[in-house]
Amino acid sequence: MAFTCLDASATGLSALTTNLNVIANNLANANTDGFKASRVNFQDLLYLEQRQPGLENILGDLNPTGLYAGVGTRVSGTQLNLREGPLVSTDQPLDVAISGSGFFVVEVEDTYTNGLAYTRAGNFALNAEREIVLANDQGRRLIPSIEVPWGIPEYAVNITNDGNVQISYGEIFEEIGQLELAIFANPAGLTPIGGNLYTESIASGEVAIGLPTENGRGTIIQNFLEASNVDPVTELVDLINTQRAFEFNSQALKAADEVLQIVANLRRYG
Amino acid sequence: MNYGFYQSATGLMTQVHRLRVASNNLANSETRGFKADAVMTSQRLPARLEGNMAADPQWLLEQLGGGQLADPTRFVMAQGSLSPTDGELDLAIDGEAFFMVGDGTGDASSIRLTRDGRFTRDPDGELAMLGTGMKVLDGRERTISVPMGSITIGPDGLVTHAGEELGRIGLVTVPNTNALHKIGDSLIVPTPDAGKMTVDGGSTLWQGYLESSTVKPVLEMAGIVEIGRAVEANAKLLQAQDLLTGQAINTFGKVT
Repeated sequence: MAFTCLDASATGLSALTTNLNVIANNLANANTDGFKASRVNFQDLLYLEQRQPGLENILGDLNPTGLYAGVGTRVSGTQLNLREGPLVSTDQPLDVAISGSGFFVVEVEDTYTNGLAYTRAGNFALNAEREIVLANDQGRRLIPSIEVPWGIPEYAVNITNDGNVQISYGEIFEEIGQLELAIFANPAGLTPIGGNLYTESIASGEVAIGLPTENGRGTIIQNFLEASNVDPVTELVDLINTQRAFEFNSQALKAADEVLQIVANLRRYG
Repeated sequence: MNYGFYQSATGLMTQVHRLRVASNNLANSETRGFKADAVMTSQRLPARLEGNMAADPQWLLEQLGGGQLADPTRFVMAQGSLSPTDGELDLAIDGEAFFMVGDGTGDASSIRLTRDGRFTRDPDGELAMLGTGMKVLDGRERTISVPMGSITIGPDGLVTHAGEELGRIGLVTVPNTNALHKIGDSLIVPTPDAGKMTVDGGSTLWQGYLESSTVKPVLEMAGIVEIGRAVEANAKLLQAQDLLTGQAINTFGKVT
């Protein structure tokens, strides 16, 4: 139907609903360690050309642009906000935070690119094989794998700023591994898969894994965790904006409906 | 046929067009870099003049004009407010200029303008638009490579990484912004009528900011109220003329 105002308002309503979903998810994760807030990007849709007759009049004036009307908006995508969250002291020896743009690398199912996922949440623990794993229900193994020998308590593990993992327990002092971090050309294009994990995507570019000190991957800080970077004030302001914009769009929808009704009643019966 | 009938119909159609534009504006009230469209209307010329027909003019009717006509849609080049986003590759323009984007092949016909400064590194390592993936160009229509790591973009568009200059984002203006044509996805086509694009020195870039939509919900809502009344008035007149015609037929066309 040529009456596109209804559809234009509807696209606005549905895009704003997506925005609401993302804001709700951000706020729900205001206390999730290593969480990165997302934002919704809106874009205008195509424009309908309507070349009404009479644009060229008797004087030969040609209007360079035709008559056009847009058909609404769409969500072009969600984008991660990769601002660093505040670092919070936890006094847990296997809690590590990254100050820089790198990600920890963990092992996931082969269905994901390279079988790897990336995370900023550095709350690690030991599994039954004494390997360092992510301290969540899935226990993803850190890559490269680092084992803490039997009989060594967690507090004896020392992680240096450049990611060297050492143990010093009584007489024993040895290096047991080296943390490596991943960086991406466009980290905002990573695909979130839940569980604080992200996987490589076409948009993110190929992963580059290496030593923390190289290419600004970051400094490792032991006993700290990176808190969520969600800023509740910004989110709430966005929430208010979204709600109001929603109302305006529904009003436009109502107006279009009323106009349609008037037009529909143009014909006189009898 | 009843001339006024069509006069009212053009009024009705123009109002519907206005409503369409208002709905699109409101739908894009959260679209970054969006410029609100404005509808101008003008009196339509009578059909004889419009079609350049040589028919005998009916002076009485011709003085009435031909109803209402919507002029080509223009967008208002007002400055949107800048809001901070923390994004390193989020840029906002303060001024009249546009970003120049293209496919990077140097093909002049692929060049589009935009005010949407949500940029990213594309898989080729070049600065590109987030939504469409079109590459951001410098003043000489070349792409700009951005390595990983922190990027600084100065108010004049100079892109630097660790003290090394990588290029300067091209900010351009055209003499006739009325001839610019929106094609969606925040892109604007510089039509030949818009004139030659020139690098603009008067605009400043803000890194870490985005320009908000220039849609003013209050004005749009006020417009919608007005449109509603205009539709009603035109519809009432249509009905009145229908009534008159009906009465005329019934009065004068009576058999027996």
